[in-house]
Amino acid sequence: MSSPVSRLSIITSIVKKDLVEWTRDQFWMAVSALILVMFAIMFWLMPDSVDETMSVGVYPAALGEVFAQAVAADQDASGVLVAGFDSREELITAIEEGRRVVVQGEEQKIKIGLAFPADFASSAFSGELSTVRVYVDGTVPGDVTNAMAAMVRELAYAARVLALGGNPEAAFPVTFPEENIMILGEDRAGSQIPFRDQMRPMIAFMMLIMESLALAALIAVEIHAKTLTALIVTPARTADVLWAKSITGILLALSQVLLILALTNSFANSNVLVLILATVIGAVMATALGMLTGAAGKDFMGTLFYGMLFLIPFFIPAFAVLFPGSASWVVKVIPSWGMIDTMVNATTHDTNWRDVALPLGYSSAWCAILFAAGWLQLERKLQTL
Amino acid sequence: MTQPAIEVDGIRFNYGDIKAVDGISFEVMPGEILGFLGPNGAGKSTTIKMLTGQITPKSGIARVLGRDVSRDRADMQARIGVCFEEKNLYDNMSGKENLAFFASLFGIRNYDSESALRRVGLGDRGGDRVKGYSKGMRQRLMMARAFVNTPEVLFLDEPTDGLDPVSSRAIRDIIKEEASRGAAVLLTTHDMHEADELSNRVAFINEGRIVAIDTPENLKLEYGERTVRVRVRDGGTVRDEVVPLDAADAGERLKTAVAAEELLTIHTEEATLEHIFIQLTGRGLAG
Repeated sequence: MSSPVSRLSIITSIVKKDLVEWTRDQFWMAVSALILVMFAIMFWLMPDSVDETMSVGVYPAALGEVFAQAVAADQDASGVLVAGFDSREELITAIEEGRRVVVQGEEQKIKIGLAFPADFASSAFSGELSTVRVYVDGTVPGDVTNAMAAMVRELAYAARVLALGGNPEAAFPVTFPEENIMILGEDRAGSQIPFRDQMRPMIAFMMLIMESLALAALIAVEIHAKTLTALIVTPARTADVLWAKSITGILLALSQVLLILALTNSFANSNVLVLILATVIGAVMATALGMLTGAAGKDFMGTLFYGMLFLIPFFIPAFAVLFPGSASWVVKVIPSWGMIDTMVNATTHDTNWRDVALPLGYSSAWCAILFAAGWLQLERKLQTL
Repeated sequence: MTQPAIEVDGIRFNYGDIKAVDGISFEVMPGEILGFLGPNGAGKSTTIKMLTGQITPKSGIARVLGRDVSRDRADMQARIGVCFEEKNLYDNMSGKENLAFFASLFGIRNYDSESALRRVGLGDRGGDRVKGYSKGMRQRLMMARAFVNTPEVLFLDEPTDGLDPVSSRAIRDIIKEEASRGAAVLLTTHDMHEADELSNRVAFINEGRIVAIDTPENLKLEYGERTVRVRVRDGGTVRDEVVPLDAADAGERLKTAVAAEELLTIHTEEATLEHIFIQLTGRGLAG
């Protein structure tokens, strides 16, 4: 009646059974579907562009035109719109109340105000010091404020140079240091990454977390109900069960993440192969964590506790990419960093294999370590059931 | 000469410092039902775990179907059936799906789940998910699962524990059918009536050791006391007289007892397995 059965056939049977069990678990099905839809909607609701304009109010209005010309001449100040104000009070009120004014044909909120003294031009010409007040809305980053202050100084400097017949050497007792700005990596000035594009790795990682917990729950239920015990007194070996759980976990995680990446149009302008490889590494990592936590937890709450213990730190790199600047070394040592970093590069930059070799290699190494740990933990659990 | 289906020689297993099984030896022949009687914690389940390849004996040798359970598990496990005490079924799958899945692990394609389910009285509920089954239905399905590969050896761990009399009867009938087919059955139970009814031989296990092993009749003859209980009405009161048949004056005492004013009932009694177990171990089977 029965015939010698191959390992592959046994593993396939267990995987099929696991997938049937998963699709019939109403809780995980509902949560997975909800998270999938929720994140897809959230992604498309986020702004798809970055507003890089900054409106500056200048008093008196006459100096506004001079300032506008200076701005127009400065390439670094692209995106700065200038509006003239007839009184200092009017300028302050516009900033305080967030009033919208028409600036160069567009309705804008004035975020920064520059109030020049009435004798600014004559003082600058004569080389006397004068005070310019810079009013700033609370939401304006400090470096923008500093840039505005520097621009005012340059304006005064230009006026003084003009007064001295165009001789910059004699303009001031001090000279501005020559700036030599080096942009490390790609200069993204004027082509900032929209927030929703930065969200992609976080969304993908959330799906990985969900499927990691789903696998952990599947394993914990099998341990608790002792169905795994029933498996290992049949021709199925412990290794068959472990392979089956690994394949189930990877299939679940990979399919869900690829689905959310497709729903967020992530493959359109990406290096697809790099993105898929990063996703596979993420799926294996999620599976490893699912095996670790599923074997450790005695029930749903236990599994959730152990799951969160791992997954919250692993989530940090996905959260960190939402903020500007390079990740600190603390973030970079987290096992998920390499995978997240690769996803960011693959979906937002024109990346190549050389760019992602290091983070992918780092994540792959962690992936192997975690997978071995998950395998051994579950194997030990199976042997002590 | 027929080889034993199960041969156990001095196997031991301990959990830390606790000796769970302490050098037990026995054999089970094909077609024989050996009842393993003992209270909880006596070592019954640990013995089954060793014989089914779930754990490895610390010492001693155990062979099932001629295969050393410590070394040749794969071949042995393809030819045995196990019914666990826990109802470890897949709740989100139907009865049919549970059976088909386990059959696939034995390399059986297109398993006739319908027939198997009909045999255990679940013919009309096979398509329902197991989570809707009663305890009795689950136990019937557990039995059906143990038979998917037509096993040569069956390990049944408390197969009727907590079941109603109808379900218990159905399962006992199936066990008898399997034995008559030629399967060797190792049946662990602490139900003395079940062991008495089903077993060709019974083994009493206590604190990891087999304290007696024989047919129920021989055990009763060897350790039990045959008596006659006579109930009479005498002077308006009802009283029982118990006469040991092995006593030297048994005939005289019996004659005196039945000579009372009114004889109500008279029964012969023999020792139960539980009495014998208590006599041998000083403890009952329920604990």
